[in-house]
Amino acid sequence: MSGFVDKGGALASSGAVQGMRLVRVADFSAPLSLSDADRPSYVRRFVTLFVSQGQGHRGGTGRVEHARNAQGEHLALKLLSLPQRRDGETEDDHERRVRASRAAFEREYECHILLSGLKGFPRLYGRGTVDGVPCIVMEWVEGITLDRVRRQLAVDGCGRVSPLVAARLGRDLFDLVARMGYVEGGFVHRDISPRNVMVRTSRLSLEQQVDEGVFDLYLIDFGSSAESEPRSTSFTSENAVFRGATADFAPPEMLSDDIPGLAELRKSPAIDVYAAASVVYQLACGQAPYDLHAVTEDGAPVSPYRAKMAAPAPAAVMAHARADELLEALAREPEVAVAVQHAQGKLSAPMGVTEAAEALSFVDEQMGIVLGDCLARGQSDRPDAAAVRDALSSFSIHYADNVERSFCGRPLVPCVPGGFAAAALDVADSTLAHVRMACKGVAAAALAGVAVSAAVLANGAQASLDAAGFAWSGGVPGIAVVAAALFPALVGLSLRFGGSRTTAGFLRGTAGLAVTFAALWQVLSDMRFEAAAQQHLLYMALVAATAAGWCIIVADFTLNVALPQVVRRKALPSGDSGEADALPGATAPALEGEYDDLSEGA
Amino acid sequence: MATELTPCGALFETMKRYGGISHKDLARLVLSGRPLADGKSPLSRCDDRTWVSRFIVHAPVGSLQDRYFCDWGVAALRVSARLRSRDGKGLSAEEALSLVMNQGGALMEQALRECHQDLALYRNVLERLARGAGYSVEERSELAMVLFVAAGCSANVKRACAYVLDYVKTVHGGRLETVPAAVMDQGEQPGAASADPREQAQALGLLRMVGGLVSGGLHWVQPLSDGVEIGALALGPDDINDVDPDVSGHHLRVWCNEAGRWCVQGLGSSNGTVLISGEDGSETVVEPARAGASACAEPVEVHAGDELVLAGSTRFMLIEGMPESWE
Repeated sequence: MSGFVDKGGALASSGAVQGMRLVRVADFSAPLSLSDADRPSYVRRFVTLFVSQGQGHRGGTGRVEHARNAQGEHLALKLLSLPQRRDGETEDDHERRVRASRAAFEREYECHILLSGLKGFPRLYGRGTVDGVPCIVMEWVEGITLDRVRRQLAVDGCGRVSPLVAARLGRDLFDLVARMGYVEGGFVHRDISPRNVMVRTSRLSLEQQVDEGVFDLYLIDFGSSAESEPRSTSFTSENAVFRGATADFAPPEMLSDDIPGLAELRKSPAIDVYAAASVVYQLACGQAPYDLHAVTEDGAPVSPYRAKMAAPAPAAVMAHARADELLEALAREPEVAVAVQHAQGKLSAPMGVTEAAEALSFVDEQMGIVLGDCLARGQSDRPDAAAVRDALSSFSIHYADNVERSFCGRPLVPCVPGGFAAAALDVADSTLAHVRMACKGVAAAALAGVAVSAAVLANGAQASLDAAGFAWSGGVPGIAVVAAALFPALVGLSLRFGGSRTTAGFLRGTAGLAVTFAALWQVLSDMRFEAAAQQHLLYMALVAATAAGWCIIVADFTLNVALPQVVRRKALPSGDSGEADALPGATAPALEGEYDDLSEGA
Repeated sequence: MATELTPCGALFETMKRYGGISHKDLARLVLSGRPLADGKSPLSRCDDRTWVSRFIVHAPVGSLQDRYFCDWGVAALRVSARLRSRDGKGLSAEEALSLVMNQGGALMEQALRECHQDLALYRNVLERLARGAGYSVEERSELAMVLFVAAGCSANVKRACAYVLDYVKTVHGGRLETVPAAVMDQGEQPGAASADPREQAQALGLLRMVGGLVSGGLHWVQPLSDGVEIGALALGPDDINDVDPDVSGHHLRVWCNEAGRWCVQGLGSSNGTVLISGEDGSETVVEPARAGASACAEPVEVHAGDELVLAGSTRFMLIEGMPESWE
């Protein structure tokens, strides 16, 4: 549950001052040390608050109210909701529950202190009590939760967001997750869900942020968070009131209580990587990776843990996957539409909608693979947050370039951090082009050789044709032999026209080639030659010419489509944790080296 | 350095020398992701060192356009965050503030001087931001960074200052626009000290409270006015007469004194006035009840957040800031 009021972008201050309630925070203490000169005016900012009526929202452990101070600043006041006494509950039990929830609130505050002041986490101003109830005063985050962002930015009927926008949101979300790791001792949020992530809109509106391609994300609600290495290990079971994570997004280890080594598993940052990837998955695909509302054949609901452990997450189906909705989707994502237009401009003939959808999905698939790695069932198989952030960053930076590459059938820039892989692929790219030209040259030479030698050998051969009411006899002209030998290849190439870089084009070309070949074979077998050897020669020439023609089509397909696909897959970051760990390290020295280069360039 | 130092160059150099952020990394933080005319965004060219060096870091002042950069405030927050979380060897908020004020400040001032910008204005605003009383060091270093980045990106002090003041207004209700008295006294500009301190004070608002809720209108008192009177029979144009019947006809005066401080003074009311401090809830008697018309009470200084209780029942909360932000 979001602790912050989601105003859908409207300013909370629009409410009049009328009806605001005066709240005095007693026993105020700040989480930072203040000089004696600063203390009075700092404290003054946070102890006398005007709380807006009816704007509060229930959070997990408390209730968050929008408040303003006497200086007009907007603040959030989180008040602990003390548990009500249940029917039949003894005084002692109730007392214990009250103590437990106070302790949980305390712990939330302690966790929040660690992150306060880091970008992306609400700043903490202090805590105190209001009429004896513990409270926390913190920054008011004016914004929209990802839940609502998803609905506002959807490009199709299924609520999918443009893959590019999803990747950028993902990059910024993983940046927050990575940043939690910088905190001394590490920090795990454990409940990342679209309701707990906000896009702050007080500086730039959501539309401006989409244009800008960078999002001001805030992670809120630390009710179920934990330090990776708690400084004190004296938590009793009474203190450890654990709030369940949101099942749709939580990793399996958060959804079951009987896993060996649970305590350790639940302190791992891999929990947040899984949850954040689920959030991005939902943005890109319109639904969370697993459908937890499904029921088994006998009608019993599936346990979320079982569902998530039973099978790997289904492959991400993103907004560009369906050709019939592609144009509609592109109309709502101008940046991708421009990239597609640019790419189309590079082609000799514009690509059809089906192939365009295929080419775009080919690019999007890179993100699907990254997300798939994060959704690994074992914690050790998931990459770390910084590596995912870098991969998504690279994915979005190279998106337009990759769309063009995909349309032209060149290998994509893989979304692995660091420029080396990309540069290596570019080298491979030009090599591939040379190999392709050479192959096609050889095949074309063979085709011409076969056609010409067959023509020379069969020139003037006496033959007759009598089929389907058409009769002819006489000497076969050499030029006709050349034409017939080249015909299948020409038909195949022209049918493939514009699709030399797609699978569909390859299949069309091959089919055309095969049909023409069969037709000519039929014609040839209907002819009667004076010398049977000449007919055999022509059979062989037809086969050889068709084969050579097909080689051209195959060379294009293999080196334009199939091989790049293999190369690309290899270049993607795998779930292998060793490689993921190596990535941040690999980028660091590269940045250090920057210093000298740029000074020299000056 | 052989080439001319531009404000943008100063921003990049400062972060590289003292903040450990390479040019490429800083470019990632401050450049815009919005595509330019050729369909490529500045952000997508960050990997191209030559481009960053030639067209951003060492670009002549006039050639840099706003659309190359993302929102300055957002960029500044990113830079602050980056400075403070560099894999364990991050800078503290104090260090980040000193980076902008001292080492980097000198570089930036040199660059701004070279393009004939108003340095006094830049220093004034920076000083205010960096010394804002009542703000944590984190908040102050963040605001100083906003100004620093804005100056670097715009190469125009006036625009940068206007931007940062607007930023302060939206984030902190405009409170930093007032200069703390301490800054005024030490101000380097001879003209500044002689100005009326009241010009720097912010308007004071009075909110009538009934039963713990805000009720009735919000009354603003401008510092340069003669102040207002509260009383059942107060007749002046801005006077406040929205009071309970036991408040005297002329009960209390509120005004801004020559030092730019807000004061209240009893006007010889019969039921007296009590001030409840917004800081610790302590009570100060402004004027005791039954003091009699002859005994005039001493002026008492008040602050936003304090509460005035007139005749035991009529309560006013004091607030400050931009009147428009409260409407």
